Amino acid sequence: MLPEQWERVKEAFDAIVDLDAAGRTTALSELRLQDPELHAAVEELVANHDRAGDFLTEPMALELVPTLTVGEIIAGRYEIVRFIGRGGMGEVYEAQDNQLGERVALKTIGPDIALDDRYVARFVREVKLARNVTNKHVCRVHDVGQQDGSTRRISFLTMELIEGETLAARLRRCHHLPAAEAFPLIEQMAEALSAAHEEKIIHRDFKPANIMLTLENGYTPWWSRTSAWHAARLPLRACNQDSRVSPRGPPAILRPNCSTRGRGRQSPPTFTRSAWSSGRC
Amino acid sequence: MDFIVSSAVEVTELLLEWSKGNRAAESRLFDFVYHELHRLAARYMLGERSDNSLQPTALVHEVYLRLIDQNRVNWENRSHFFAIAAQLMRRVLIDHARARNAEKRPKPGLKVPLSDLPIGIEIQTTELLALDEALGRLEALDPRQARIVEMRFIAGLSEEEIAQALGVSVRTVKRDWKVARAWLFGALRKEPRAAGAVGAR
Repeated sequence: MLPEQWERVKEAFDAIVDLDAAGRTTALSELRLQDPELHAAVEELVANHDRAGDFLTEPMALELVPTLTVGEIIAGRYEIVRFIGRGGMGEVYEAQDNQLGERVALKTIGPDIALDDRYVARFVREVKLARNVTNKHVCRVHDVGQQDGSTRRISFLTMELIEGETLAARLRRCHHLPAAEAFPLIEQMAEALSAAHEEKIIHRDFKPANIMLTLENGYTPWWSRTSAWHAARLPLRACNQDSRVSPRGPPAILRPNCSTRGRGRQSPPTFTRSAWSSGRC
Repeated sequence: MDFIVSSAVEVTELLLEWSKGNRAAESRLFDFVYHELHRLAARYMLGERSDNSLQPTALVHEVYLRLIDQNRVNWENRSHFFAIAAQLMRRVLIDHARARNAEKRPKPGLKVPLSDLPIGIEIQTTELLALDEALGRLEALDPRQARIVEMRFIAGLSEEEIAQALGVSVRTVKRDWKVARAWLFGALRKEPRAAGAVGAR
């Protein structure tokens, strides 16, 4: 069809589409006599209009799929078992470590970070640091790696696979935690942070979504593990080295004077800040 | 990010120039908006948000808030921005869909296990590409109608806002939309998977 023809189709369609059934029939019959070709196009368009239902009426919403597929092997070693969810910096999968024969959690790192070599270098450095922290309330970080594909680069880390729910999910589900349950959790979280602080590491993204609650040994109370250690930073040094990297924690959790929204120079994160946010949990 | 702080001033300036009819501002303005939409889309697609959907409408509005100094623009400028952003959002989505399609093509000699299926629901690359292709054909017939579809379906603008952006009456927008929607439905119905999936939210 040519634009001139389309112009005529449009006009005829507009004149006919809002008529009642009888009116449409009459108008279409007249059109058929005058111009059979135009009639055919308009008739089809009117029929499509009637059939279209809610087609395109609501603004577009796209559902997202995980980047990795089940069965895919990453870095020649980790076989993707299932997609767990999306979080802080990327996606989380359950994977089988074919070298050690263990299940691990594999976290991919968002593309804005993965494509920048400097960020990746920092990320690797930080994961190495986080590995120094050993505490039963700290999620163990195993390995960090990269795989280059034809159109994408996947940066990932693997960590202990923890079965359970996050504190954030738990709070959503139960609205509040009774003090008897909350206090032990707070103690465990404080213990986790303090183990990190002994290694001169601060978490920087300490929030309910990064606390996993697990049931250990059946009946023991909820047991907390702090994960997302890839957000951990060495105080002072890391920030001074690369001023482009801003604190990644959400403003509500960072202490107000350290908020990323501020226009002034950002102060480097300190130990007190992650301890402060643990009080907010 | 520093980029945003400095660019908000510049992008607002470029938008004002563009609204005045200065086409020299166009490519730089488009670059900024495309870049920002792309960056945000990537962030949404991988992380930062816990839900599994991407709403281009929300994205376009977020980019507007980030890039434009609202004290300096009027309703007309705002509509112009959304007209541009809707068009560029379409491009971002299509670029993404193409890249993803290319990525999924199995490499020769590589065994694809039976379980190698996407988990969850695909960002409807096939449907997106089909819609884009049909929209391209409509654009050849009537560019204004294609803009209207982008603004309504991708950027979620009201008929009044679209009329403002295009400098036509609301009545014209309504008429164009009605015929464009019927035509696209017909065009995509010939590929039934596409029409169903795009129409269903």
